[in-house]
Amino acid sequence: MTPLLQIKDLSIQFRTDEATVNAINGVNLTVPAGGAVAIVGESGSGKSTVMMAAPRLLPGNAVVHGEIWFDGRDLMTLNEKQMRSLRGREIGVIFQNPTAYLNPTKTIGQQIVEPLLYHHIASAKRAKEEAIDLLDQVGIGDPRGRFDMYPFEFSGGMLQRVMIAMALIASPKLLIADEPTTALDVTVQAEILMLLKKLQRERGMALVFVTHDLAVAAQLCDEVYVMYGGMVMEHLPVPQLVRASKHPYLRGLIQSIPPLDGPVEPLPYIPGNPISTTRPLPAGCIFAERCAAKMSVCEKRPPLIDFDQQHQVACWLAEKGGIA
Amino acid sequence: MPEAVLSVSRQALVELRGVKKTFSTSRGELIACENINMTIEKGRSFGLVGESGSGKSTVMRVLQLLLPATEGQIWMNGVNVSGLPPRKLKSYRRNVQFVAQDPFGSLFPHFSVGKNIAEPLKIHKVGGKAEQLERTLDLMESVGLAPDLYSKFPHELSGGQQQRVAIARALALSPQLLVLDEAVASLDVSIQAQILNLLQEMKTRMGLTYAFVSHNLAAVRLLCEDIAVMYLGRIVEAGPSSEIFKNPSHPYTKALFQAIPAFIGDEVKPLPTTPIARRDRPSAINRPSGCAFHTRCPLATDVCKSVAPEWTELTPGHHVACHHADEAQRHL
Repeated sequence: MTPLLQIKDLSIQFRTDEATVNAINGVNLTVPAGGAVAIVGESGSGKSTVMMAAPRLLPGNAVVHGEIWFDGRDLMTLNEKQMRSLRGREIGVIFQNPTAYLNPTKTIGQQIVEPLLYHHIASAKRAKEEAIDLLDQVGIGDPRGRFDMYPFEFSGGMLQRVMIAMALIASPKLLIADEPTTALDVTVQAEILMLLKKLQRERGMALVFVTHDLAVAAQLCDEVYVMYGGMVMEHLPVPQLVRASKHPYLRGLIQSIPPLDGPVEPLPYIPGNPISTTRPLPAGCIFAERCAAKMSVCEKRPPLIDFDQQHQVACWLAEKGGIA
Repeated sequence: MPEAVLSVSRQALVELRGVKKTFSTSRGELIACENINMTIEKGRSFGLVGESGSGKSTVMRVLQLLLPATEGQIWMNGVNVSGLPPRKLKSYRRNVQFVAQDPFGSLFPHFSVGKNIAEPLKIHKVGGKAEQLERTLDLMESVGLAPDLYSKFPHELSGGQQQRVAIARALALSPQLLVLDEAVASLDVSIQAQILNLLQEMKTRMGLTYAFVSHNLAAVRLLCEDIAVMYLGRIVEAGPSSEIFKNPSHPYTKALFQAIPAFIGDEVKPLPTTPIARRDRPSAINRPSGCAFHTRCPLATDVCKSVAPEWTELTPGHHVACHHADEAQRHL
């Protein structure tokens, strides 16, 4: 598949009065057209930062280097006006907390049609019909009546459906979903995930799903990038996630998920705390201080090593065929 | 500890009898929970699961006497504590301590780690300065905090370390019961495993009893011997967790299991095929008649709409309130 989004050698720093945060330290990633890609990491791993860089939604103190190719254009070189014509039309975004992104003083109908009106895609009348149709598709009962209601009249799960409708109304080629289900109940989460998967397939739209939950990523996506300390530690297809993952960090993460079956016993866990990106990074492997398989070669930082087709690992162990 | 030893010495620590809590709102009376009967036994841990709005946190607040119950009683060690005047509650509060979901929000930001942990000792006037210091350092060691963190402030710590401070503070007065309200929910996966292991290990080491509120069934399974599942303010299924995990019998419990994203062996659990969240979820103000779950239940029949199901015992200790529990076990 041809790549729709290609991020090359991306590095992002945030300059604050106190410190420089090395949020992203050389990330390469590719999203194929129509594919579903998950970016997984713990808090502070840079998973959201890397994806917010694509629609250029980072705060003003971000210093961004690298290339972000989207559909044949390097987004880094576009001016703000060109970017604005892209956002909402070609790239849709949904966030974790819908209440923070919806205007409480406008009806949800007014907000859903906005992308269509802003980009002059449809007349007000047609926009309303499309919005009602889409509200129905995302599972909102009585869409015509709900069109004129305000955000406070909806539950969290319903608002997330509204956000999805808003992000999809202009039929974007790429949907970026940043932890859209984290604040929801598991039953509602399951429905939103099913909905996203269905819409993504039907529309042939590319999806980037940012999450801290490996199981959610695996349920929804075709391939996974695992991030730590602003770098990609491993990239592999979902069917191989548990079976063939190589990086000790990813192995540790998988093992530390409490299981639903089998004996009840203490969980294997990764010792220590996630690396802080506010301090200068070590010269060697950034995971070495927490790694049980640390070797002397880890004093040198491993590159992303091609382990297999579609499978890269940033660990020296991958060179020797991986850990047992 | 072998199961036999536990079952011989099984003894109720805290008991809720017919607890009901209502709130009056502009839209009418909200029944946050009702008919709550549960027993937390000494040395066993009790897990309360359910969706947001199911009333599980309200039950825990009533249990801690932070909210007065509208109806019903709370017993601890054979004493009805719900009838006691506030000034006599200090000893109850000492025995029941609390760890909240957001570790940073629950610590005093302007207190050092040491001062945060020692605060309960000061309030309850336990020992002199030197003893309090010693106790604080002991507590820090037992939750895995290095002594050099003593004079750090909460904002200088990671989320996992903050939660360890909160746990140490909750343990300062050697309580019998620790209420953990979503205590691992906001932590990263690798840190969550560390804290779950710590809780599990402390339970055995100190003979603690936990009341663990969570939407994460896998974490509950790890920590709790007994489980109750709540839906819209009522307990719909309860029993030993081994039994409930093996044989979930309420359609709602089943739905919760199906919705959890997890790996089983090498494969990811597929997304559920029969969603129950559906379009409209009922609220506690407009509680549906009969069985409150009938609006979302795939097995609902006419009887569910009009008659509230009785509480039936399936196997010893395993109770369920459903007209179609047999069918749910077999088909869902």
